This record gives sequence, C-alpha cells and structure tokens, in this order.
Amino acid sequence: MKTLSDRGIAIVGFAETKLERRSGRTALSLAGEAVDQLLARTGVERSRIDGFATTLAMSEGGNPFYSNLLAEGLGLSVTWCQATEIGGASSGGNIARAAAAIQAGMCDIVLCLASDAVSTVDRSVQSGHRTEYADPAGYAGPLSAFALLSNLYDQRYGLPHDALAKLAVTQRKGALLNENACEVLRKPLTERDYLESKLVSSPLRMLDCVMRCDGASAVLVMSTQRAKEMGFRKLVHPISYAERINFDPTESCGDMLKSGFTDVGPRAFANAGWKPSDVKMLHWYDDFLIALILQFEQTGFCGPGEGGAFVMAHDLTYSGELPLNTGGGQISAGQPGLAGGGVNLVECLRQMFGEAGRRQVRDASNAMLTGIGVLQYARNWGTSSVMLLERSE
Amino acid sequence: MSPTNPLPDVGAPFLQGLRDRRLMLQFDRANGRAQFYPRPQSLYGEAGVEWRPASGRGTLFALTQSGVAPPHLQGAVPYAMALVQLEEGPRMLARVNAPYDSLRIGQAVTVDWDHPDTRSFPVFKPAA
Repeated sequence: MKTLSDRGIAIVGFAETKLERRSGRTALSLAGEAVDQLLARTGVERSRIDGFATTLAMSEGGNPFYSNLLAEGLGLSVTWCQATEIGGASSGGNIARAAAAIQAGMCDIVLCLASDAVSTVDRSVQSGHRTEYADPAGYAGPLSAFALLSNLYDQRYGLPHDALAKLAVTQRKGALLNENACEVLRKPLTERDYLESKLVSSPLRMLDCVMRCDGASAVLVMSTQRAKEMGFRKLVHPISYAERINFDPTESCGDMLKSGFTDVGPRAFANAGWKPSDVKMLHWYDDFLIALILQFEQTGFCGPGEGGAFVMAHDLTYSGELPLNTGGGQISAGQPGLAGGGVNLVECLRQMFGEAGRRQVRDASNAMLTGIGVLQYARNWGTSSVMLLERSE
Repeated sequence: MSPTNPLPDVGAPFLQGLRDRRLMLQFDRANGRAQFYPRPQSLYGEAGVEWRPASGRGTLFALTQSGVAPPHLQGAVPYAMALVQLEEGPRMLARVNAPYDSLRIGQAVTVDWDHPDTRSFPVFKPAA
C-alpha cells in the first residue's frame, strides 16, 4: 500500500479474550467479550464505530451473512462492512483494508475483529480441490501439506531439528507468561520434549503444529488526525503492507518451497525504506514451526537453507536481541481457527503499547507482522502478507 | 453417469477416466503442457485445454508417513502419501501402496489400477 508510510493511519487500542480449548461458546459470544473490553480500554462509544471488518469463523461455516450477523449482534450500524477470507492473513489484512476504507472516505472509525470457536464446532467446508482431489487422496488437512513441505526441505537442506526445537522452547517461554494462552499449553517445554514428541505425519512432530482453540481479538483503527482529536496519545501506525494471493500459479512444477514471502517481504521493506536488520521484533504467523524457518529465509533475514543457522545464532526470546512471538505465538498460545492471525497481531500491539508485563521487550518501537493463508494444491501456502508497524513517540 | 450422482463438471473426464482405468489429464491446446488438478482454463496460456490419457507413471517427489487421515481412511493409518511427479509434468497428491520404509525419493511409481480405491482417486505403487 502506498498510503501508509505518512503515518496517517493509527491503531489506538486492542483487546483479546483468553484462548480456550472447547469453550462451548459461539464466535459472537467471544466477539462480544472482546469488543466490550476494547470499548472499555479505549473509551470509544459503540455508536462512534462506523466501519467493521471481520475474519471468517470456521465455527460459523458457510453463513452467507456472517459480517452482517456480527454487526447486528454487536450493536453496530456501519457505513462500511466486510468479512475477509484470506485465512490467517485476514487479521493483518483487515488493518490494511480498514486503512483503505478510511482513506477513501467510506468510514471513520473501524473495528477489526477476529473470532472463531472452531474447537467447539467446525462447520467449515472447503469445496473445490480440497474435497475433490485432496481429501480422496488421503489429505488430512494442513499438517499433510506441511509434512510434505518439511520432507522437501529435508531433501534439499536437511531439516534443522535443533533450530525447530529452539523455536518451540523460545515461544513456550512467552506462553508461560501469557495469561491469555491456552492453559493446556502453559507448561514448561524442553528441546528434548520437542524432539521426542510423536511423529504425526513424518517428518512433522506433534510439537511442530498448532492446537486449535476458541478465542477472539479486536482492534480499533482510525486516521491519525481523528485519533489525536479524540485525545489518544499512544498510537501504533501501520507504515507498510504487502500481500500476495495465489503465489506463482504456473510454477506447479517449479520450486515448491518458494512462497509469496519472496514477493511481499521485499515489497513491504521497500515501501518503508527498511531492511530486515531495522526490525525490532517479529510477530510472525506460526501455524507450523517450519513456516518460521521459511519466513526467515524468504523475507531477507538470511539465505535459502540458512534459516536454522539464523535461529541458532540469535536469541529470539522476549528478552533477546530479536524477539519472536513473545506471547507464545499460535504454536504455544493456541490457534483460534480463522481468528489465528489475531494472536500474532494482538501480541504485537500489546508489546508496542508497552503492556506486555513481565515479557515486555526492551525495544518495541517497531515490529514486523506476517500472515499466512490457505494451502494450495500440491504447492506452498497461497497467501502471504507482511505489515510493518511503528509506534508514535 | 447417473443424474442423481453428478460428477464435478470441470473434472468429470478425470473421474470417468479412473472408471475406464485411464489417467486423464488436461493439456494446453497450444503448448501441450499438462496440468492437475482440472481447471476451467489452461495455466499456461489462453488457447484452452484438451483432455488426453497420461501414462500413469511418475516419480516420488515428496513423501510422508501419515498417522492422520480423512474420515474415509481412518482405518488405513499409517500410510505412505506422496507428491508424485507425473511423467507429463504436474504433481499429484496420492497414497502409495507400499511400506513407507521401502520407498525413496525419486523412485518410479505407477498408478495401481488393481487397488479398489483407484476407482475414486489414484493410488500409486512402485513401478515393476
């Protein structure tokens, strides 16, 4: 996006429910809790919100009026409303879409919501190649795809088992201090625990994968001018954003390890005039640990095959030189279905607003947020996104 | 084809081919490049596609031993599942009817037409 670098858009607040396994609740119920919390924290009246963007919810399946249902249930009457269905990239994507809608004059104050109760009920149906050609072949969901990607990485470079173990332990340290993380995941973890965890689809281990849960997050977006008029002092500005959907469609016989991050990483950095070494902390989409290794390699932090060495050479904990997913990420906090990107987004904002408590990083003046969405047939993931954010001083 | 059990429209020739023991693929009408899964247009140009039988031969490109399965295969775990690099170019996700430990990357495989599941989706086996 060309319109973010002037810091004309501000995020003024965030909220998150506790992540919970099989809560027995609905996406609307979880959303209501997150929105109440957001309004209480920001002091913004519900009636001032005139824009609304949500992620989809697997727990709500194919409801064709989902965003309208939420708006009605949450008591919002808006001039701009949409549900964004680019999977795990939707939470960050909604910030960018809200910015565009505000700058186009369609609305003034936007609620960006992510809520899903997928571990209570999964009503989603993925029509198309998933049901016609993948499930009949034996495909068991994203972990089948990531197992095959991991096998391919292993063939080419050798899987960096030590670095994957370090990532698992690093993020778990954050989850131990994150009261919103799923309780079942808030147990200390060692590298040995990771290495000895069960192979679910070789070479993928149980602790390579996210656990589904229920949860919601909410973020308030407006113009920086409006934020200042309303008296907000702490602001976080999205200053650059790039996304790619259906990366490299004709390369079905090409390099399957290469994802859209090779496109969106350089574009997002160029828009901001940054390079990877300018980034203070990483809040990266982490449905599988191997996805983090590929992001290091494909957004320019290191070269192909060097992700493991990069991880081993850096302290990525909340107290380290390049903090990564300081609240545990989705791997150690839980993945609330299609609201999963909100876990990374909210922890990013929590750090930037200086509210991360005992896991507060030393320098949260800027951050890099990523999103990953949907698995393509016999290829890599389909959607990749990068957002760069800066805190106002 | 029974009208009460319609085949998916774009992929109908593929599924009909399985019943006839032929692996049908789409080929670009101009440059001959093959694609899978079936799409309403060619990935490689605007000349359209035509359906032709493929060899049914390929090699193992990526491999996993899956301990998880979709509902209809819950009784079959663990099984070897692969991305098969078809001789004609595209990759196909498929089970391989062989012990996982006996398989290696690059190994030649062929559609196992005698496997009962191949009637609904190809299962491969090591080439003789």
